[in-house]
Amino acid sequence: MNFFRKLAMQVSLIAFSFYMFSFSVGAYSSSDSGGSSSYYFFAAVVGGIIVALIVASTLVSMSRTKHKSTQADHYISSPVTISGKQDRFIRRETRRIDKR
Amino acid sequence: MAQNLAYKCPTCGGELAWNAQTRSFKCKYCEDEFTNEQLEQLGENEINEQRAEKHRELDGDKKLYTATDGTDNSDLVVYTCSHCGAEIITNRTTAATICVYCQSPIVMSEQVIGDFSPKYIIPFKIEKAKVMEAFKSFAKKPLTPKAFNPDAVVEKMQGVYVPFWFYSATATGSVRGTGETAKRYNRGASQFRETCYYEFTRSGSIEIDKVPVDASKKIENDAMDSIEPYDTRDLKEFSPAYLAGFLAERYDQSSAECFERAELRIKNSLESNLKRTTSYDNVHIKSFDAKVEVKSCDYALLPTWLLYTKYKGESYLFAMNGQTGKFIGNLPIDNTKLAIYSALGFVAGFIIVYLMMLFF
Repeated sequence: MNFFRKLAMQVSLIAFSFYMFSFSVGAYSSSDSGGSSSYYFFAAVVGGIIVALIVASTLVSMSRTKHKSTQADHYISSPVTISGKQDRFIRRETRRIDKR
Repeated sequence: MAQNLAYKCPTCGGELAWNAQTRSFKCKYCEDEFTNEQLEQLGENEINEQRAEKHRELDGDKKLYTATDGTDNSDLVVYTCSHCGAEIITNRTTAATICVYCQSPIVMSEQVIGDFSPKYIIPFKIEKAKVMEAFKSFAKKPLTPKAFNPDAVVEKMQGVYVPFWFYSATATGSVRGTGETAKRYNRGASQFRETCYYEFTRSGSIEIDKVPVDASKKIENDAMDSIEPYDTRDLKEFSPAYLAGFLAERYDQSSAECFERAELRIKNSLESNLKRTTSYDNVHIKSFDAKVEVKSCDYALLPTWLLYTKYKGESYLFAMNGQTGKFIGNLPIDNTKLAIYSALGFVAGFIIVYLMMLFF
């Protein structure tokens, strides 16, 4: 049951995003006021979707607090004892990243 | 006569139960308090294995019965209350409960002797009033439906001693991978990024002391993992008196069955600890081999506050660590509220981005 609910939510989310995308593309193609304002509109729709997703996931995570433990770090009684250690240099890469 | 364990006040003969606030056994009637040592001296703590009451099977169709103490209905048996003689219908793995008729704490002797005798226990440190308070504030989330009433739900909160296996082990292993270090420097008018690549291996071991893994099929593993850690400095040698006033389960998964979960966590800890001994900026693990050698495995009962509730057909579990007060759970979500908040987020995001594009 939970699985189907999650699936339905995902599908709704994808459908909503697709609808907003189509809507903005439609607005872009029928725009008379030049490319830049339609581009602004498209970017604003994308920004809106991103903020909506962040808001939704933050609020949902506030109601979901179960986290499976994957480690036993709290129960380590003595620090790690190293019995073997090897480091071998392979190569060096240098890239110019900024031209002043 | 066969009997279950019930703890009587040495002063007035009333029922004694563990009090998490005072960390002592308190009489419900005269409010006198006793330590475990005092009960032992008075001989109140001894289990007479010969006289331990054996459970009885239910007559007829078991599906027609429900547990009198709110425990799981899947596999019910009958005991007799040592105080009022009423029948207690409870789950087969229940080790302690409260009689629904006379409200007396009852400890099922047969569930805490022989193979089922725990070695350790951590007595409750968090009292019910604090748990109820914590739950009510936890339930105040933006997406909680209005119809979900925390004040009504919280009454079902039960203090339960959950069975755990404690594994103490030595984990030995080695990890192999690649590491990168990067630095930036200027030469002339240009900036450069230099990345050095290395191959590394690390071998080592860690000592693990008492990693807990819950040993009850009925209780969600994720929930029990989430309320960890337990502080093992509070461990006490098991005495059935600590169970008085709470529910308790005995294990229904052997230490061998639960070991896989402990092993995975121990191996993950070893891997991350070995990884941390490198000094690279980025590390990519290519292979990891480890062996976990168990030194001891002990049966213990650990305190948890549990609340099972249903909302619109879905089950929700809330659990609190009865020692540290760490609280976890999944609350129901109001989809209408979620849609409204998302829409508001969309409008806010739309306006902000549009204005940014317009003015910057």
